[in-house]
Amino acid sequence: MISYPYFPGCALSTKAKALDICARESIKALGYELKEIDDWTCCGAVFPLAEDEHIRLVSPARAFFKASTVSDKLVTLCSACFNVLRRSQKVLKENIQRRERVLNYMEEEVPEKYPENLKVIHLIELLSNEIGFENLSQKIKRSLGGLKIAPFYDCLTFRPPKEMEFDDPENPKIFGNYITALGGDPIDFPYRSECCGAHISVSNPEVSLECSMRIINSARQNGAEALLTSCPLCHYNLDARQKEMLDKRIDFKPMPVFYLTQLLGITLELPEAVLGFEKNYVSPLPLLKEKGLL
Amino acid sequence: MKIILDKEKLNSSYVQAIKEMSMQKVMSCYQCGKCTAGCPIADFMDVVPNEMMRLVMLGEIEKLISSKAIWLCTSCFQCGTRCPKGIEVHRVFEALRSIALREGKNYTNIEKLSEEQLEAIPQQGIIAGFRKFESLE
Repeated sequence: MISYPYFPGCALSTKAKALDICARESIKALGYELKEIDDWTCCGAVFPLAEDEHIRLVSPARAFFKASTVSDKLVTLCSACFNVLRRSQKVLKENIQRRERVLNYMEEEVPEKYPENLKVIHLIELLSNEIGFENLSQKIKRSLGGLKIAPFYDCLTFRPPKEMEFDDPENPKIFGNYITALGGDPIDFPYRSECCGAHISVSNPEVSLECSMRIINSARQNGAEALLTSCPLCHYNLDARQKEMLDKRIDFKPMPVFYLTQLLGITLELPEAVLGFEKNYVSPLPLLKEKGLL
Repeated sequence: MKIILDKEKLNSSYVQAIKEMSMQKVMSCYQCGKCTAGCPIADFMDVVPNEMMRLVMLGEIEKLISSKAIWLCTSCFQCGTRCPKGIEVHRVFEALRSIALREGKNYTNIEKLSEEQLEAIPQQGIIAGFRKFESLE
């Protein structure tokens, strides 16, 4: 069995457990393993944009050292972790001066040679490149039966494009192809890659509520029955905050928001306890029952 | 808004700090407005992204540090992705926030976060929200 070192991150270990557990169990059902690296620490949640902030790259560097002892890949799934880790590795690989500054903070943990070949990959890249979407459609036990799902392309996974080097930021396709591989019908919509409001839901919740509501309404107007996201914060803004949207707009219609891995779990017929729908504010169960998917 | 061109302002330590922190060629902005057109928050900002770029060029940094806009930016990187001159506008926003934070001008206060928010918002959001908007130093 091929095993990949895995960085779950803080959100997946607590409030976004469904994203994490479905990932581990689905990958296991496909014949691979996600092995959590030991003693990881929070990635920092935001990549330091100021060029003089070095210490914030220490946590990613620690994770790279641990992963590099067993593989040339480090798998992650949370959009924030993916954004921070992928960009940190690019900086540490290419900017020798900054690398030295960072390593100075952590002498006792530094291996002799910096793991330049280590690649930070998103779980969707594991599914599309290592396993392959064609192969994946052969391996699933049940198709999504044409369920109309709008793939939401979150900011952190796709941007900034020069640093993330992940799909086309203006015309992303990867989540849509994934939905197709699982037998669903991907719905394209104008707000597919607009920001959900992200962390300003902490300090300016009204503004981020507007952003999220625009996304859901746009998906609905284009015929979607549900949304897909791989980001815990987008999931909070798009799912949990539908409670406030219902209070605010009398004509607002709720829409279930699936985590990327929950869809995979459904098609691999994982038990309901693993799928973790009880944590979704808008329960997808009525929709899934109506479509005969549960 | 009345702006007086002032040589000292144009070359102030603020302007230098922004150039160094953001590593961006701010002077190459030609005001096409694509950053603002793509910004999901521009509707709510008092100074929109292309205006911000112009004010940086004119050295009006204090106006920007006291604007609401720098605290509304979600760092979604759309502005930088679409800039035809390759300016990572989001890094200029970050430099402005960093200057404000390093001067002790915090925007959020962790003590004001309600139990309900703490319970519901994923760690990623809480950590990002406070790292971007509050300096504990």
